[in-house]
Amino acid sequence: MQSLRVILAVAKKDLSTLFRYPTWFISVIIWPLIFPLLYILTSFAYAGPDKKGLIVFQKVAGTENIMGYIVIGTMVWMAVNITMWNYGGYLREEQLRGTLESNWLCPVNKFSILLGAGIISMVLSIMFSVIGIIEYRLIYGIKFTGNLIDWIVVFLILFPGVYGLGMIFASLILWAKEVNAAVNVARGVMMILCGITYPIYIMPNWMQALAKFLPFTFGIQAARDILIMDKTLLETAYNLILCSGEGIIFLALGMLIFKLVEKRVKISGSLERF
Amino acid sequence: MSFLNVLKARFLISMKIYFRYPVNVLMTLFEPLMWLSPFYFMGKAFSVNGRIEGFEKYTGNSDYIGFMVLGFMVSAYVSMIFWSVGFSLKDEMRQGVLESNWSSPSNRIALLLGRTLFQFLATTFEVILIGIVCHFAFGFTVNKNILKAISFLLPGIIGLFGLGLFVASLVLIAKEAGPIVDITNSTLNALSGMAFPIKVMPRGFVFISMILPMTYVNDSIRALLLGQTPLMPLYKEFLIIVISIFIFWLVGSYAFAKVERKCKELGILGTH
Repeated sequence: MQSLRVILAVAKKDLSTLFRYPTWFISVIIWPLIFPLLYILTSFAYAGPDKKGLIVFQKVAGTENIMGYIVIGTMVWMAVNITMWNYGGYLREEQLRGTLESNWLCPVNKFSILLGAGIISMVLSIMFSVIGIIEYRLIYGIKFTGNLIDWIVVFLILFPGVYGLGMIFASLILWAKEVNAAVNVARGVMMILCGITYPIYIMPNWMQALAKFLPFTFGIQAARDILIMDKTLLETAYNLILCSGEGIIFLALGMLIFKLVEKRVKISGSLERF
Repeated sequence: MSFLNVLKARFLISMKIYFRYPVNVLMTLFEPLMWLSPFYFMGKAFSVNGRIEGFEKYTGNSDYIGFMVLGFMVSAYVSMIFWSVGFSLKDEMRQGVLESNWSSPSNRIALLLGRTLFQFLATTFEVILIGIVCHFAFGFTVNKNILKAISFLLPGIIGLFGLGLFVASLVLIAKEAGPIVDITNSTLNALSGMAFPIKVMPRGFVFISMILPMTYVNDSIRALLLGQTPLMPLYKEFLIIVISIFIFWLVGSYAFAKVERKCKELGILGTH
């Protein structure tokens, strides 16, 4: 019960901060539009003025819906990106403000503080994805397949992996005291390996093997299967199971690392340093 | 305090902070791989026998990797100016030193540019590293026209500093840097053809691209270093880039002075 109060208090505090700087809303509207556009226009450039090159890519990607193929990859990447910046950098932000040590002294479960921080990034991720899908349908004219329940399932199976990774980074940042580099590594690895704009078998074999250790590789494939290839949940069960299974491992790893770092920073007394 | 003293002091602060977090330097090696890999592998998915015929029709040759890497290098300078100007203000707001720094009898523009000056040197070092990393990772090479290319790049960067002042005014008003810097930076990079030839965009956007000087910086550098077909004769592109310096500095410093005066009148420099 006490943990729930802490989670809600942290979420309420962060929500007030979020609404204090309303410029984030511009990002929510514009980013889902412009980020995939870079890749879509690049694909048009590769295809040539007569678009003949698209046939080559369509054969490799296994779908004619190239724009849909790209926006789904970038949409999942953006959800991870927001979580990394907001959630992964949460404790560091508190450290910079000078409030981390005083909050840490409260007789509450420290893990609840991190869970409370997760609520805001979850709200933002959902907003990004919903607004993105509406914009892609209305502005880019992309046709999505599947039904709402399938979409929600795909979204939910990504959560353990996203938050597991976020937790690992929130903890490591507390120790290493550098957000940008840590976030760039996390989102960069995903950008290179998970095939956000291309099928992973274009990469060398060793990179494909590495990609299979990341839940997002399977999450993106499952999302493409459901949202543009008109497959059912059962038909993409392999991807769903691997995405959620690896995600749960990430989550367990995140909790473990958080406990270790919590202990370490208490012993070294370095919570207030930055 | 003289203009040069302020520049020097701010340069030193910026340098100390940069070297205090050495992981950032290591990230320079990783970032080009991260941002360029999706384009590189996507290019592979489009290529037949190592050639992308469609891309050749737009640019004159099939060197899409050279096209991307040079675009990425120019965008590194654009991002450096926007992020260092926008975020130096926000950082100082958060650290609570903006009001006290601005209460000192020093030129505000020198305060802003001093921090950016070090970032310019750091970015130049990073751009060289990017070239080396991309050479080994993607086989990136250029011809010998490097000095000529720099003579197009430098005036473009000087003009951008003026635009940076305009971004700083927006940050002062909104009291938030992230979304403003992120969106203006990305939009400018995208519209000036960082990742693709501007001809692929719808006509309305091509028109906007054609009035952005960074379009000509990207285009002229690619024409000089990769032998790709430029949008217009290079001397005309150079002229547009030079004229933009005056326009950006005029607009940027006017907007900044106006907003600064307003902030002082309202007494809101210390709040954020």
